[in-house]
Amino acid sequence: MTDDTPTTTVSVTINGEEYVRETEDRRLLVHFLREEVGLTGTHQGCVVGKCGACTVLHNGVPKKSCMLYAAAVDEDEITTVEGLAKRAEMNGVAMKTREGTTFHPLQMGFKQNHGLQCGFCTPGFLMTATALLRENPDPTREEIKSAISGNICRCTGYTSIVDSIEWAAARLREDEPAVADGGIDSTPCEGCNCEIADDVEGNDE
Amino acid sequence: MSNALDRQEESEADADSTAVGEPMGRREDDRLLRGEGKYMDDFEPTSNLHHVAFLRSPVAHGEIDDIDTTAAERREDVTCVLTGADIAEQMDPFAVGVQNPPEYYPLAVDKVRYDGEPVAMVVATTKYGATDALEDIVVDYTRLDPVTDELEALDDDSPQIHPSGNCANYRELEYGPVDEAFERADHVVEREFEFPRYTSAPMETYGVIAEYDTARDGATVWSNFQGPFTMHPVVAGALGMSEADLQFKVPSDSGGSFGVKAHIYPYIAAAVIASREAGAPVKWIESRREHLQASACHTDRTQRMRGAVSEEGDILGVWVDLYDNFGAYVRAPEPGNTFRPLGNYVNAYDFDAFGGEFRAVQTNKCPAGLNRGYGCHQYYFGLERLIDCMADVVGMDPTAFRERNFIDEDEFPYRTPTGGEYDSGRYSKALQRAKELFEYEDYLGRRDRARANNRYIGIGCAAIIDPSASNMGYVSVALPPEEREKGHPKSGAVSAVTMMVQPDASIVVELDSAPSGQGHETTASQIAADELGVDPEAITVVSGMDTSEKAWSVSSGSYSSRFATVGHSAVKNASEQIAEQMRRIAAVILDVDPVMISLEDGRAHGPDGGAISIREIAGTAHWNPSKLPDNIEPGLRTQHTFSMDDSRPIDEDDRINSSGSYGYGVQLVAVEVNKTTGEIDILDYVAVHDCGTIVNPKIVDGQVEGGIFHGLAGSLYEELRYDDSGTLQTDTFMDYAVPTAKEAPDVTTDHIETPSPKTPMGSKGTGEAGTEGAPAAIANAVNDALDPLGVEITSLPLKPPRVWSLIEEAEGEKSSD
Repeated sequence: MTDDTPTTTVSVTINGEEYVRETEDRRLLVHFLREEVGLTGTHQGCVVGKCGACTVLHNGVPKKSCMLYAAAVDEDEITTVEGLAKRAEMNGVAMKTREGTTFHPLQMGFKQNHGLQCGFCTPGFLMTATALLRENPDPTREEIKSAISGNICRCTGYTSIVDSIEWAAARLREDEPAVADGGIDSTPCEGCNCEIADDVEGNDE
Repeated sequence: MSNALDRQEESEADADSTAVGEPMGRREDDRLLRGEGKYMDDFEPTSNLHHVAFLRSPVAHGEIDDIDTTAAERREDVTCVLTGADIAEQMDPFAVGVQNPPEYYPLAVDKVRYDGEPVAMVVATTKYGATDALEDIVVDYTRLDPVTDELEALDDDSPQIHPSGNCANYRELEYGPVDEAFERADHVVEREFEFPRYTSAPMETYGVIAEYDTARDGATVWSNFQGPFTMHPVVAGALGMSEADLQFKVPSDSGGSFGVKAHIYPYIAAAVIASREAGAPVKWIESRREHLQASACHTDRTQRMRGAVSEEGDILGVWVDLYDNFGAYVRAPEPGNTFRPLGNYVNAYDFDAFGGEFRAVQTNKCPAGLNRGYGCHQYYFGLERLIDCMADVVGMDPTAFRERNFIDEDEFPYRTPTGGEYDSGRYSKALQRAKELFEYEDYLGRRDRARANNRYIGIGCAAIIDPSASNMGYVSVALPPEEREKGHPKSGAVSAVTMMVQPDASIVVELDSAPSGQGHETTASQIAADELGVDPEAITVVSGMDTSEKAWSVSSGSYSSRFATVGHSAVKNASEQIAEQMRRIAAVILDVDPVMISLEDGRAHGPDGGAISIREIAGTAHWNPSKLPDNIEPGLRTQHTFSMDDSRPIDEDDRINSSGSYGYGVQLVAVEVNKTTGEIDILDYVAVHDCGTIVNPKIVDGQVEGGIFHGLAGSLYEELRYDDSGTLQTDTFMDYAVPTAKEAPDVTTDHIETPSPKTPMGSKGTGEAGTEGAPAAIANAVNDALDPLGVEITSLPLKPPRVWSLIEEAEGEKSSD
C-alpha cells in the first residue's frame, strides 16, 4: 500500500480469536481474511457475489466476503470454515474420520456423500449450510436447494451436496436433539458467537 | 461426544477383503473440508513474491499504434512493465502443428485479435498496486472490422486476422467405401448443426508463480496446470530453455480444471520472462472476468453432416464438413478439438465408411482449447441428432435404430475404419438397462397421452463412446502424410509412478498426475492397499507434478480422463513390483519359497502359519542390506512407467488408435417444453455407463453426474456470447448464466462393468462421458417434444426466448399454410 492510501484499524473476532489490523479501506473482507489473517480456507471465485465460494458467517449470517470491505466488519464476529470443527467440538458433536481428522457433522456429511470433488467451492457451501441448519434443523430437499442457490459448484451437479446437508441435518437431530448445533435450550458462548447447549459440557473426547 | 462415524459406516467395507470397488470416502476430503487445501493462491513457495496484472484489449480486432507505459513505470510500487514487443524480444512464438500456424505470443504484438487479449503486464510489489498501475498505461488502437463466425471468416472479403489468412488447417479424410455407401443408400439425410461456446469455468481460476534463477539461467514455475505433458516442451522451446532448466511444479490441490487449465502455458512463459525482468519471483492469479474473456474454451462448431442409411435401418456411412472456430490463434495442443475423436468418429456404431472435410478456422474470439469432452461433445451433438434423423426417415424408434446399429459385444476388440481399437463394451445391454430404468415403453405411452392433452413432452436418447488416455500421436493428422514425415513419429499414452517403503514400513506412492477433484489419492491408495495387504489409510499418496524431481514423460498429467486407464495401471504394476520385493525378502527371513508368501493384514504370511510384519521386511531392506537376496537392491523402492501397447503413431492412411481405452454411456432423458414461456423442464434422466472395473463407485458416480450437469448447463443455460463488435457479452457470473442447485435435475445412474483387456485393472476413464452425451440427449428430447409443431433442433443453447421463438415461427408457418 502506498502512503496516501486511506486505512482503518479494524478489530474483529474470527473463529473466537480477536484480530486487530490496520487495513486499506478498500480491502475486501475475503482478501483481509486470506492475506492479512492467513485464513485461506475462504476462497475467491467471482468477486461479483454470485458464486458463494467466499461465504463466511458475519455475526451468524452467511455473507459473501467479496461483497464486504474489511473496514465494515469492525467490532463484529466472523466465522470461517477453519472454525467449523472447533465449533463442533464445543457443541459436543465433533466426529472423527478414519484418518483421525476432527470434523463438524456437515463436513462429515460432505465426505460420506461425496459432496465435493475439487473442494474449492466447499467452504462456502459449508458456511451457508451451517446457517441453514441453525435456522431450520429439518429442511426439505427443496429448502436445502433454495438455501444453497447462491453457491456455485462446477464439479458435482449438486445432488450429492443436497444429500450431504440432508445427512448432516439428520445426524445432528438424531445424535443430539437438544443441541442441533445451536438449537433450543442453548446460550451463546463467549468468543466465537457459536451456541452451546445448556445440557452438554463441550467435547467429551 | 466424539464420533468416529467415518470408520463405523465403512466397517462393512472393511469386512470385505479388497479396497478396490469400495465406495470409500476420499482421503483428500480431510484437508479440503477443513479449509486446509493448498490451492494456487493459498501458499507462498518462495519469499519476496511480486504480483502481476495484465492490461487487456477492449478491442476485438485492431492495430496497436502506441503503448505508453512511462507513467506506470514511475509508480513507486511498480517493479517493471512489459509489452508484447518486450516479450517477443525474449522468446519465440509457441510451436503448433498445423499447416498454417499463427504467430502466437503471450502478449499481443502490434495487433490485437480478441476482446481481452493481453497487451501489457505490470509487476508490482502488491496485488492491488499491480492492478492500480494498469490505469496508467495508455494504448492507442486503430479498430479493424472483426469476424467471429467460422463460416464468414472463410469468405474472401472477410477481415483477415493473420497475414496468412483465417484458415489454419484443412484436411479431407476418407475411410472405407464412402462413395459406395452413399450410392447404395436408400435414404440420405442431411443437416447442419451448430454447437455453441460454453465453458467449464472451474471455481478456481488460473494461478502462476514463476521464479527465474539467474545462476542457472533457468526457472521454477508453480501453477494449477493439468500438465506438464506436451506443453512443457512447447514452453521450454519458446523460451529457448532446455527442458531441464524449466521446472514445472503442479500442487496437489486444484480447484477444478475440466481441460481449461491446460492453457495456462502462455501465462507461464510470460511470468518466467517477467520474473527475469523484475529480478524477483512473480505471482499472478487470474480474475473471473479474465477467465471468461481470455482463458480458453472448446471450439464452437458448424457441422454439415450427411448420413447414408438403408431401408432396413442400417447406417452405411457418414460424411461431415466440419468448421471448428478456434478463435484468434490455433495453439497447441490444437487442433485437438477436431482430431482427438479420430479413432471414435463412428461412435458406437458398426459402419465402415466415414469421411469429411475438417477446417480449423481463426476468428476474433478467445483462442480455443480443451474443455470437458474435448472434441467429442460437439461432434456427438451433431452425430446423435443425425442418428435420430436417420431413424426417423426409416420409421424406426430411435432406441431400436441405435440398437440395430451398435457394435455387438462379441465383436471386441473392434477396429474402427479410422483406426480406433475399441477394447470392450456391451452397448446393447447398456441401452436395455437404461430403457428398463427409464420405463421407456411405458414412457412412450405417457408422452403420447400428454401430447393429446396439448403438453409438449419429449424423450431423447444419446449413446456415446468415451475415449480416454489420448494417444499423443493423433495430433499428427493435422498434417498430410508427406509433411509429417519431416518430423519424428509420435505416439504414446503413458503414466509414471514411483513407490517406496520407508524403514518403518510406511508406504509412499508418488503419482505423475495433476488432479482437480478426481480423487486420485484415494483410488491409488485403494489399489496399492490391495496389492500390499494393508489398509488404504496406511498409504501416503503424493499427487501433483514436478518435472525435475518426479518421474514423468510428455504424456504425463491429468487430461483426457487418463488416470483410470494409465494412472491406475501404473499404480497397480508398481505395487506389484514392491509386493514382489517384499515377498522375496520375507522368503529369506522365513526361509521359504517366495511364491508361498502372501501379504495380508500388514504381514507376510508363509505356508506353515509363520508370519512377519512388513515393518520387519522394510527394516531389513533399509537397515540390514546384507541379508537381502542377490537380486534385491537395498531399500524398497520402484519406479514404473505404464504405456498402452496399442498407442502407435498415425499410419500413412491417416489411421490411428487415438485413445488408450474406450468407455461408453447411454443417456435417456424426458423433457417438457412450456409452450407459453419456452422453458424446458427435465422430467427424468437416466444414465447407464461403463468404464470397466470401478475402483471407487462414489467417485465414478460423481464424475458421471457432474459431467451430465456440465453438458446440461451448456445445453440450456450457458453461452459465451459475442456481439457484432466482437465484444464478449458474458464476462462475469452476472451474465454467464451458471445453473445452481435449483436447476439441478435428479439423475438416475447405473453402471455396467466390462473390464478393459488392455489395462491390468480393467479400468477406463470416466470424467467426460456425461458431458459428451448430455447435449445430444437433451437436444433429441426437445426435438421430440416439439416434433408435433414441426420444430427441429439444430443448435444450442435452448434458452427460453429461443425456444419460444422457434415455436412461434413454426406456428406462424403452419397458420400461413
